[in-house]
Amino acid sequence: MFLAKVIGKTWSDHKHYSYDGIDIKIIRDVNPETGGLINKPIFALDAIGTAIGEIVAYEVSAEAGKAFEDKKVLADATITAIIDSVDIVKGEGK
Amino acid sequence: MDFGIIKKELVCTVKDPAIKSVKLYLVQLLKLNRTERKEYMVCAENTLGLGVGDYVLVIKGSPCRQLEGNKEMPIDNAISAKVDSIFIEERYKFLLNQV
Repeated sequence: MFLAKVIGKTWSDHKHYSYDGIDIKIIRDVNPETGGLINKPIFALDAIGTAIGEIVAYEVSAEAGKAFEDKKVLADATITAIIDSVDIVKGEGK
Repeated sequence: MDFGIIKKELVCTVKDPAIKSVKLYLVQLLKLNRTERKEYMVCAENTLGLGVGDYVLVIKGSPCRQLEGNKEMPIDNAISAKVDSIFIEERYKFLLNQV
């Protein structure tokens, strides 16, 4: 799982049948120490209902399709949690 | 998932029997402002009915096996949706030119 920020969303009429009722959001990785945005934007399915500007956790790869209970969804990135706060002790772990 | 545009439809006469039902497309990946990146990939798709010039979302890796429900397919990249429009909030608009 990775930390990211929701920066936008997409509309699409024509999609795979397993996507019915699911939003597609645009997210970007967050550097937990500085809060800055890093890496490329990613398109991810929204399993919990997030808003733009929120910090979220998302998962990638085959597990992403298992976030929707018993439904089999064709997905390689899914938002699975909203992060309220991140505590990091600076200077440790070096 | 990544964002791209369909550049070509691929025609193959000889295919693995397991992927007989899918069509293959050549997709070029795009930035969020729809300018082109120099990355191409061959993607499979079977139910949407797409054409050259359509903006699409592509999926990479093992989840693509379930493109047709429970049937397992030897596929690595797949097209999952046709994109109508993208919305980026005003304060993140500067990101459109990056990456």
